[in-house]
Amino acid sequence: MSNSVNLERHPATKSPGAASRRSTRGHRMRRFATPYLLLVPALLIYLTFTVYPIFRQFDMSFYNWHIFPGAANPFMGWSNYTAIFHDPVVRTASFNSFLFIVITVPIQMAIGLFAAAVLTDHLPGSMFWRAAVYIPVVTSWVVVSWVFSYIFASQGGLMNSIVGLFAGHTVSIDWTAQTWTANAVIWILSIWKGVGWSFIIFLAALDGIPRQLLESARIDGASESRVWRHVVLPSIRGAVTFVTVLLVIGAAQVFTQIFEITKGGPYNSTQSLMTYMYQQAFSNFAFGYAAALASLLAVVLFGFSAAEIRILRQQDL
Amino acid sequence: MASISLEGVTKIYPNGFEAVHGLDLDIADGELMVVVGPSGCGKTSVLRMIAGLEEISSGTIRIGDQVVNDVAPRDRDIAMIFQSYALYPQMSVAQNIGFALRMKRVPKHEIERRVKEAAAVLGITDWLDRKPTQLSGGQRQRVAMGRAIVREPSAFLMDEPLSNLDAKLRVQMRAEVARVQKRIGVATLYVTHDQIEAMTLGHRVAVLRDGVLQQCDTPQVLYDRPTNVFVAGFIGSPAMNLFEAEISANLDSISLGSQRISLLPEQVRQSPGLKRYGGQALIVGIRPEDFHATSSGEFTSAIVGEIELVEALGAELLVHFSTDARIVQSESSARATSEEEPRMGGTGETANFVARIEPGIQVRTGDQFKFSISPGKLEFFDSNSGAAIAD
Repeated sequence: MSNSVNLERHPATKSPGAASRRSTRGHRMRRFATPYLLLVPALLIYLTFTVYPIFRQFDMSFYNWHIFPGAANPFMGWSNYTAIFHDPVVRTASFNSFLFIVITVPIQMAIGLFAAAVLTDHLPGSMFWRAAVYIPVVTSWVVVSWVFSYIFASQGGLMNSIVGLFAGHTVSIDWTAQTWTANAVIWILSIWKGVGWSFIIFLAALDGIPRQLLESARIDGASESRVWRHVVLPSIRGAVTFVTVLLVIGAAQVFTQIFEITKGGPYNSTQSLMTYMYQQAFSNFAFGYAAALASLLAVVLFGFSAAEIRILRQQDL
Repeated sequence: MASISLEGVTKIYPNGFEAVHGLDLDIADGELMVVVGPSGCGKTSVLRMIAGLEEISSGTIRIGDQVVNDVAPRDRDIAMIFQSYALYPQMSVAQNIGFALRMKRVPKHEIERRVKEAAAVLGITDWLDRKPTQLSGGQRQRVAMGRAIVREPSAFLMDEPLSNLDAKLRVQMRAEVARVQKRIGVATLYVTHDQIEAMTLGHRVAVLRDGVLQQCDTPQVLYDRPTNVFVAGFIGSPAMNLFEAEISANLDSISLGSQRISLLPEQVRQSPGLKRYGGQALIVGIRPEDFHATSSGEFTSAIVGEIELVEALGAELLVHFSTDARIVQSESSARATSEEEPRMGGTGETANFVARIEPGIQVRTGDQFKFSISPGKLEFFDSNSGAAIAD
């Protein structure tokens, strides 16, 4: 208090009120600007490496774009997009991607949830089994794709050896050379490698359910199946939504395992949208066409993500 | 409606910890039995074994005439209120209350009727469409009670249902619990660590210590005639003053440190067992309210102490004073000191007594003050076993 009295009486301070207002304004400016200044580095990185490539890709989709510096890039308008709707391989790739989602996502979730339910109790050995289920997630897609290629190889593959044991003679099925068996190999690999991810999310969600809720339901007369239906599943609804959305987005972008095992063959029959996009860009050098495909896929996935956010927000209410 | 009966019930956890040891307890139909004890005494294990949430290691539990040792929780026809209320977060209040009836496949209109009836009893009709997250602690507590009473169970179990509420609400809800229990009139087991809750709610109170039943009786008997030092120290707030003493050979006085207080013949007649202790050490207990600041003729005994602290509570004064007598810190009073409220207290060297006296009496910290003792209000305990000396 005494300081303020001295300040007011100081001869150099001709207009203490104005100085105080200036000081307050400066303080407000600093308070307003500081958070934005702190955001600048992250924002620059985001704009450079995320926003710019998206817009560049969208821009490319309207040109017959060439990678060579100085080459002419004729404007194509919407023709890259209209071509997509007339391309039979896009139809096959879309169907394969859809089939991949419909088959691998529910199976991964079902196995992940089952494993989480079994291993949620801290039984002896559960830590080992938890690790065992999760380990495939941390392996390399390229490496496990090679391993699966060897397992399903027509000559000397493990799967043919097993089938041969049952058949009583040597077999040489070319698993990856036929559409449905090749697809099956890709699905099995994807489920095996991906199941640990949904498992770990479900495990955390199940661990988060208060034990007393389950006990209360049991005392209220619920059988185990009804405890799951009325208490467990509603309690992990957020996790189920989260896993569903992210698995679908991931499955829609399936690439490495197909690229490594079948390269989209035979005759494009195992192509996915991502492998076909890659092929168009880096084998056929149709960068504009690939960019148009990528833009369409991004729109679809963006819509799906928006739906996810809406659903999750509704659950929070 | 049914009684609950426990015979020789023991619970040993897989790590070898014996939580409950050979417990015998009978809860009559309509009775509210409170199990009280410090943390870790096994009271919640008892409740969970009755509910079927924990397997029993040995013994027998009956609900009514049925032995329920191996009966699943859902088939025991019991209702339970948990400390956390355990309301289903995704369900509305009405759905929460009606959940048990849905599980029993009771017709929808009947569920609706009974939910509304229970809601009216508890005054929660206006919240039936709300979710538990939109309710306060007290409101959740009422919903939990509604969920329990709507199903008209044979027995009612409550696991520290008021411990998450603030002090004022706890007093309100205590009365509410008593009212609801009286209304539904079934055997009720109520577990708490709060001895005030136990004394105010229980028709009978069972005091547990380290899984062993210490005493089971009406609250007043527990207060007036504790069977041992543990119960004496646990029941009552502030706790009974317990200190080392020596009784004279002719049983006419006891010495507390350097002071002697005279003993009336009727005191010896009340506790004939005292005759075996002539000239020996024992533990003496005095309730805080049995000290008086007056020295009228009705009081024949008195003790002088130095005032350490005066707590004015409005309707009474709590006066902490010290003497050179050695205090006995029973396990229960030691826990009360550490868990409930900080109190000035001796640790065995010098006694720190607490007296509850009428307000308006001039007592000042540092003064030497003479406290009269109500005749016949001394409790005596064996200094080795801690058991009450009665017969």
